[in-house]
Amino acid sequence: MNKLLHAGFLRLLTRKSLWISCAVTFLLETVAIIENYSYAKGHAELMPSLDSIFFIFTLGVMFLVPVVAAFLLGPEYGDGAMRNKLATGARRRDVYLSNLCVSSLAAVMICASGAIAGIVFGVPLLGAFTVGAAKAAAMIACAFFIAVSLAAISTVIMMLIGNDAISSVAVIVAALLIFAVGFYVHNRLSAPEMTNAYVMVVNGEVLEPQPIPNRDYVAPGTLRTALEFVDTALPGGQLMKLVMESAEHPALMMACSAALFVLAAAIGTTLFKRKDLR
Amino acid sequence: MNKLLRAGFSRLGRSCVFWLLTSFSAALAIFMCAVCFKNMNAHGDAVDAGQLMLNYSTLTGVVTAIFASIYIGVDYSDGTVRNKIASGHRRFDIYLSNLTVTTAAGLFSYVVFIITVAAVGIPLFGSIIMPLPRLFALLGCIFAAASAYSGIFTFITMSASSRTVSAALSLLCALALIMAALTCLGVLEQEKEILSGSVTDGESGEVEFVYSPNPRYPTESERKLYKTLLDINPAGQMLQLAGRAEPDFKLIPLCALSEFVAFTALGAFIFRRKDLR
Repeated sequence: MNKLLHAGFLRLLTRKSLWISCAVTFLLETVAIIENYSYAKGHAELMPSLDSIFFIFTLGVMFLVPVVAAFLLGPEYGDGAMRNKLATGARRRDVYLSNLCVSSLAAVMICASGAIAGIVFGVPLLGAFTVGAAKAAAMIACAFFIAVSLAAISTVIMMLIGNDAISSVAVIVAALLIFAVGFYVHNRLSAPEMTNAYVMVVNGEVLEPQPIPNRDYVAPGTLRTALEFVDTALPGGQLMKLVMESAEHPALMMACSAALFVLAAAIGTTLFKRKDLR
Repeated sequence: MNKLLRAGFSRLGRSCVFWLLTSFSAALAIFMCAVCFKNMNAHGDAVDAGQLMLNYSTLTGVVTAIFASIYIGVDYSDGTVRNKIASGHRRFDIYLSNLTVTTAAGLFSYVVFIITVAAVGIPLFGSIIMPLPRLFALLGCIFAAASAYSGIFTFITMSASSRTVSAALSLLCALALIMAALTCLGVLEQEKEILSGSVTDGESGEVEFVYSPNPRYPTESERKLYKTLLDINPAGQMLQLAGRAEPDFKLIPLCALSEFVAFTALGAFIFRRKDLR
């Protein structure tokens, strides 16, 4: 296992795809902060808080972690490295877990590059987090947990599909689906019960619009509970909570990500043991 | 060339990915009709089956990227490309046959979507409200933009150094084009003045709104730049054709077909010099 891990980490550090992904995440976060700051400069009321911009980098993490996993694990089958590892006596469980560790480390590095950019550029330009240091730290930890759970899902797909062209597409499409589901569910849950439910004063003129029941509102019940579960448990929903500043229970989100990681690892290890590697 | 095309279409007919994506387009059409029918009954929404036929256009890029990277990727991994060259086919012909099959697959899945919407939607929502000449012009432009997508993704998959690279690049390119188009649209849709509100009375929920100049409102030169970027980008063309902005019926097909020809010429040139190992 140690040798597999050592070889895996060495290979990871020589991958251009990893360093390009880290650079892209760093740039994405930097550009988002500078762009928002430069537009709001001179208009104090339009200046965004760091909380509302900081987690933009997680959008990059969502798609770049699967891509790096594809670049890292795809050639394992194509180059025959997988068979060679088994031929030299490595156990299948160890091969799987070492690949999981390597892709998880890649996910942590990509996430860290975004978070570093957020702190380096965000704090001086937009000020500190408004939610307090402890909650901010918990939310940043959530982003890392999301990245690692995505790495676990990507590893399952890459290790169980033998054809690297198909597995690479499958892993990115899976990320796209996870994001789309998270986006949809979060939007459904965010819909207010009534629209126009406030008194407006526009340029000194008082307007009291009639509240209208919102047809998109999901009433409390089985459907809302199911949607809330998906929103909290899946990486897509968690990511939306971080980006939309609605992560109320970071500890629960981290627990869900950890559970997803363990579940994916258990399923992957079990199925990889029975896989016909040809 | 004819033999390559015949072999390509024969493989296409047996391709799981092709039938999966075609089934996806049919299933999506049925799903969209069902959702619109539910909204029509519950809230009295007016639904135009003609407009529904345009909605798939925004997804065409991702679908074509998936198809091209798997279909052509497997061609490489099984050594079929080498075999074709060994049996005397010209590289240019191989490139063109793959491009033809990819374009045909993309257009076929769109046609299946249109037929499904027509078969399910017209009985549910009544006849098409949109004037038919406009609908046909929009669909024609969509087919041109879908061909541009096929040109781009065939170029990527035939030029990339490995199957993993081509699959990842194609899908990321499709997503990046959509993100770029949405960003351009976001800028072009900015209002000159914005209504910013602040809660003045927490108990009654009184909010004071004030109109102020929008710092994100683009200048005339910025507006021209973003509009040009939107017209060049196939995803931007598709978003305009799907109804997000009024499309230019002359410029969009011209841009799309130019991209198709440019990427094909570049791809064929690179493929001629490519080391296939």
